[in-house]
Parts: sequence; structure tokens; C-alpha cells
Amino acid sequence: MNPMVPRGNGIHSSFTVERLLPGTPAHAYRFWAEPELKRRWNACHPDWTVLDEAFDFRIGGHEHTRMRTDTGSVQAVDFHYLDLLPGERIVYAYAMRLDQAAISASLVTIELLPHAAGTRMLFTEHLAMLDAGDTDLRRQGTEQGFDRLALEIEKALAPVH
Amino acid sequence: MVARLMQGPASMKELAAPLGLALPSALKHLQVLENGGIVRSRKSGRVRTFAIERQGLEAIEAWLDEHRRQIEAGFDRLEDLMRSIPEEPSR
Repeated sequence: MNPMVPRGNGIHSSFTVERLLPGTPAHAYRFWAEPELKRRWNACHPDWTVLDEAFDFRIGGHEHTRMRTDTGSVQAVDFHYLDLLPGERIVYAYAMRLDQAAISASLVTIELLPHAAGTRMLFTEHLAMLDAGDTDLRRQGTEQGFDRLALEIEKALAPVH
Repeated sequence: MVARLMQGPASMKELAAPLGLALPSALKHLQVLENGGIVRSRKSGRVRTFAIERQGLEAIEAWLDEHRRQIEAGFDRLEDLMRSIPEEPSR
């Protein structure tokens, strides 16, 4: 591991993403609960190869996906459903690994609320960064996010110097 | 603590007081941040001053930014898919 790149141990982040979805909460819930529907929107890396995956959408159910990345690493994501309330709530924990490194572990709560003719979805994630250090995932994230962020962070940190 | 340090360097005492932390607890927390490459410290006489480590924070922020971007992109696809598969009246 490159000692110049921080591991991120002890770094936590909480954030909420809010979306208005076209369809009732009961309908929106299906897109999380049914494997063939979820796969159609949830696959985020079309250029990665799926090595294996398991779907088990029920309280206590354990899911995982293992994929080979475009750089040849293996990314494993494990999910554990903690609470499910059809049409209303989905709560799960998940952890990401890249090869031997534990990247992050999170608790996610999704609330589906009726809003006009559709659904107001609140996705809240509490994330702990673990060995998100000298890995392909981190490098990719850094490179992709860096340009957009560099300016903002320069501004935010300006008073330090 | 990170939020406070974004405004400029501070001593351990200045960082601990607003959070109601005892100095040993504050030190423990700051050491985790220092080991993680998020802050660096300098000792001058009896006072240890902490400051943001720019590169470390940039890398963490960039990783989190990319993580959120991927979630947002997934929800864009979810919205499109829900629009293309509307609810059937009988359901």
C-alpha cells in the first residue's frame, strides 16, 4: 500500500438523496424487490464482468455480487436486509471489497412516501470508509471526481494558507 | 473537527472545547485522522497545532463524491425505467 495515500480509517459520511419517482410507492418498491427489474437500473458498470450474484430480498436475506472490473480487480458487494415494509421502507447494510481490501461499510434506509401521483424517495446512507486506500476503486474515484472537486476544495481550503 | 479545521489550523484545546471532549479523547480522534492522512500536526513548545492535510482530504472527498455520483446515476436510470414500465391499473 502506498503510504502517501490515506486509508481513510475512521472517516464517516452521512448523506440523503431525495428523488421524486413516477409511480406509486407500491410500484416503486417493485423496482427494488424484483431481481429482473432491479438489475435493469442498478447495474452501474456495464463494462465489468459479473462473476456471480445472488438475490434474496427478504428480512435477513443476504445478497452479493462479484464483478471483475475493467482493470482486472474483483469487486465484491455484500448486502444484508435488516427491515422491509412493502411499499414503504427498505433497510439494509452493505459492504464493498476490492480484492483483499475492505473499502467501505454502510447502513442504508430507503423511505417511499406518497407524493401527488408519485413517490418521494428518501435514500439515506451512513458510510464508514475502511481501507479505501491505494486501490483501483479509489484511484478511479479520485481521477473521475478530481477535476470537478479540485476547484471547490481549493476555495474551501483557501483560509488555511 | 474536520469542519473546524477547514477554517484554519487549531490547537488540540481549541478543537476539543467546543465538542466537550476531554483532551485524551480529542487526541485519540485526531490521531485517527492523522493516521488516515486527513490532518497533520506540528508541535511548538507545549502546544500541538493541527491542520487539514490537503491531499488526503481531496482524495477522501473525491471518493465520496464519486460514490454519490454513482448513486444519483442509478436513480436517474430508476426514474427512466419506472416511466417506461408504468403501473398496471389492475395492480
